[in-house]
Amino acid sequence: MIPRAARLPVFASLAVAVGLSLAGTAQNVTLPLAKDSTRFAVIGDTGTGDKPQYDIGRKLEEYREHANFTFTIMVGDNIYGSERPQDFQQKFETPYKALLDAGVKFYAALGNHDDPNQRFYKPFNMNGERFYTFTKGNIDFFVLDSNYMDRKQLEWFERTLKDSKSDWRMAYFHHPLYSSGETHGSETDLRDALEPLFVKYGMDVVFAGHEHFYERVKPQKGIYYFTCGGSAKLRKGNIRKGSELTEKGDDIENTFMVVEVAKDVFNFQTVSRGGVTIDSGAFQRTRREGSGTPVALR
Amino acid sequence: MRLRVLVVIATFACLAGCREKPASTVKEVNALDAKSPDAPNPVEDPRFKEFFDHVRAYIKIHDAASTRVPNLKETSDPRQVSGREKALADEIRIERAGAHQGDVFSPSAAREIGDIVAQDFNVRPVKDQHAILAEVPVKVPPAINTDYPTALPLATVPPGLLLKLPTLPMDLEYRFLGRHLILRDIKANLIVDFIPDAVPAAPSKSKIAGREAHP
Repeated sequence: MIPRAARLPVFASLAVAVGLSLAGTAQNVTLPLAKDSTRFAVIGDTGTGDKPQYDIGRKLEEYREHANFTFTIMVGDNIYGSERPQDFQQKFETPYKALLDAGVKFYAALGNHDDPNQRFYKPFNMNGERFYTFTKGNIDFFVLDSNYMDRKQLEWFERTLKDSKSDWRMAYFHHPLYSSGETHGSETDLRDALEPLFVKYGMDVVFAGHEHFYERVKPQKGIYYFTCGGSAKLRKGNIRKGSELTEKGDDIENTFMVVEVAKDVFNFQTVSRGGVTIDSGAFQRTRREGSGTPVALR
Repeated sequence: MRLRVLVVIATFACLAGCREKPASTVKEVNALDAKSPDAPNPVEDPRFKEFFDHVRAYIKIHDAASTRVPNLKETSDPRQVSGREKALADEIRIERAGAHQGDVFSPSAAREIGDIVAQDFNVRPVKDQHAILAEVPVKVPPAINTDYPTALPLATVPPGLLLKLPTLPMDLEYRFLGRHLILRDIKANLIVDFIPDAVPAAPSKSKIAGREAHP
């Protein structure tokens, strides 16, 4: 079996450590902020229009000023409740105004609370489609509609994934394939449909929401899974205690993620509404050929 | 010399462009429907012939109504999105005035589809059965030609079930509303038809105890 991933080399770890100590002075950004890297934020279950969403919006802007991420991925439930024009303003445009003004682009996935016609709302950059793909730097993103995973979508996904040429392949959608959530838990039906394609075509990282907390799942079949569904909603104490899936979880505070992909290294930092880093790490991109072995995180 | 270089470049460009390109847009995938012999639920399945005839008839109405409202393009103004949705729904309501439950889900189709839903539901763990019903816990039956309630979530339809149901055109979808299976026009947010109580009643919650926990 060809190793799917290797531990971060010592020199890279040292570089990261130095980077960490330097970056610590800049709004606690722990990312290496390497030249020519691709940086983005991850938010999920956001569209409440309540104070936590606004607080996270402000915190995101603080991090953008230092980490200079250029786009944000939304893992669904972008607008809760009614979807009148004023709701788009209160639950999206105003809380993220500073980011939008700075030119940060948002790429949305649909959640179970979202009208699929959100795909025509230009600031969500869905290109009028329920599921779509886009490329940033050396990453191909696959944005799926997990509310309605029919044959057409699966067929499209396999064809598009097969055609992918980028170094990194990342998917995001609303429902987590692996989750320690008491309320919903793992979406096993969806997993049966998607995981074989992830494994076959070498998916590297998967982001989801739906569960209103943060969870980094232990790599499954060599793939990293993050649940980031607490960027406005929060289900306190909802991570099943002692779950074998959880590598790191937080169900106490609202959270968002900032990610930096520098060549073959994926760096991430998960930040709470209060600005505390609750999780961070890095791993090296797995080799496309061969099946996986778990990847080292620091 | 320069001309020869241009010819070589043009030849390579043509060859690269001529290689078989996989469907990459949703529209292209939609067009694959009738072509896929391996589909588990092909359009030609005789059990659903009448149902597909009704679906096609509905799509004609939808398409005709679409021509009478502004085109739906990406816009930064959400008023245009909701305005178009409402205008399309109003046009379809006029065209389908007097439509009844069962007009699209004919009795035989409703029976077949109801069986598929019930069989799928009954083999699911009790907790998952409750999850399906709990997502949109509506007691009141849906009504034909009315808007899907915008403040409610759209119940997630399990992929395993979707693969067994007759495939729909992109503008239509199946959704659960309480125990009813509805046929929803996506762009108009309209309830086109429904099968009442297609989802069996779930066993009592006390039976959940002892069930294997989610992995």
